[in-house]
Amino acid sequence: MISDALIILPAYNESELIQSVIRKIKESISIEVLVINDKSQDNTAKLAKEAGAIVINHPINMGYGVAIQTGYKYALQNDYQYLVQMDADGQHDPQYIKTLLDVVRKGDCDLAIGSRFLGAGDYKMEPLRRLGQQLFGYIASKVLKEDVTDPTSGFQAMNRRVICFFSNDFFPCDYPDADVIIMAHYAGIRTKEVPVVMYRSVTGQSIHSGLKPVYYVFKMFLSIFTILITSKSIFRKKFSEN
Amino acid sequence: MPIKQKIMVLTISFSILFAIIYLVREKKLKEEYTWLWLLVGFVILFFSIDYRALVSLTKMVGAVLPTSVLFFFGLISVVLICLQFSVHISKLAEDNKNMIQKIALMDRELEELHEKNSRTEQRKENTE
Repeated sequence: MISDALIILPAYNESELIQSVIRKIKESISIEVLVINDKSQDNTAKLAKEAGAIVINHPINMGYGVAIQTGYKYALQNDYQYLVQMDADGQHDPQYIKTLLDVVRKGDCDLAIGSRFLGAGDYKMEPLRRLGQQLFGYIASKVLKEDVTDPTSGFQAMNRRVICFFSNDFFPCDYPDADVIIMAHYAGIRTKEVPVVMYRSVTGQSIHSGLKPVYYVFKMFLSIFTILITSKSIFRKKFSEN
Repeated sequence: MPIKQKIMVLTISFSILFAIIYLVREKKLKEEYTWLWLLVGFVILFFSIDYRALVSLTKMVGAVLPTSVLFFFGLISVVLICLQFSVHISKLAEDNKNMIQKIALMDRELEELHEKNSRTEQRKENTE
């Protein structure tokens, strides 16, 4: 069992797939799995526990961003050195957990972001979503001065310094995507995209479903703008403190 | 200012002031939220009593009607109050998030302690 690393799965009404996702993770790597149950209406928590995961229950539904931040705080509290975050709907292939972790462990970067558009697999995205993704990818690439192919990827691995930084109050809990990558860059966090395989969500319960994409685009622009106008020294100082 | 208009403005400003003081006395409104409201109430009261000051202010800002200046500044005050509330709501939302995360983490710790406790008790029973 890898005792210095933790996998976090934020989950909301994922009873359909949560057990198979946890089992697949445990089959591919021996590592502790934490499920953050964001006040699901079904028995996600019970099923996750049965599958051998540690479960943290939010008393009220707070959304994806807050759920992953609860995972960061748990990792800090329990002295984990590395953390991998994944989606609980089976989109992310557990075979790549080790790949992502190894990149961070070697010290190649502080934050490894799994990208589905770097050759591994053939992920197909709806044209409108792809357009939005390319737009934010373009903005992030301009700021970082390097290619950001998958700014909405939730499949990431990070070291303790990044976990500590993301546990702060300025972490954008409302849809943390391209804005987090830009913020990480300004903080001096070394990021690296790693090719991974992702599948389309079987349950279809994406945080980008329904009318949410409209709000998402607006919110993302606002969040990026807020980060751009924030004094970069604040991020740098906070990250160097860790 | 026509007498009817004066009575109306005075009634409104006194009502606002009395409502704020009543809410503070009854502990339904915290002092930190009252200062902007009190300021608005006193400013309206001052200008409704001293009409010449309102006319001077109208000339100073280049407006035509003194009443529209009064409403204009009233509107600005409401915007400032809303801004103050937004700042407080943002802080409350952040505190709420942190508190929920803390509860969730403590709940987990408690569960771990219960599990540990029941395991020790079971071990004790087995040895007995």
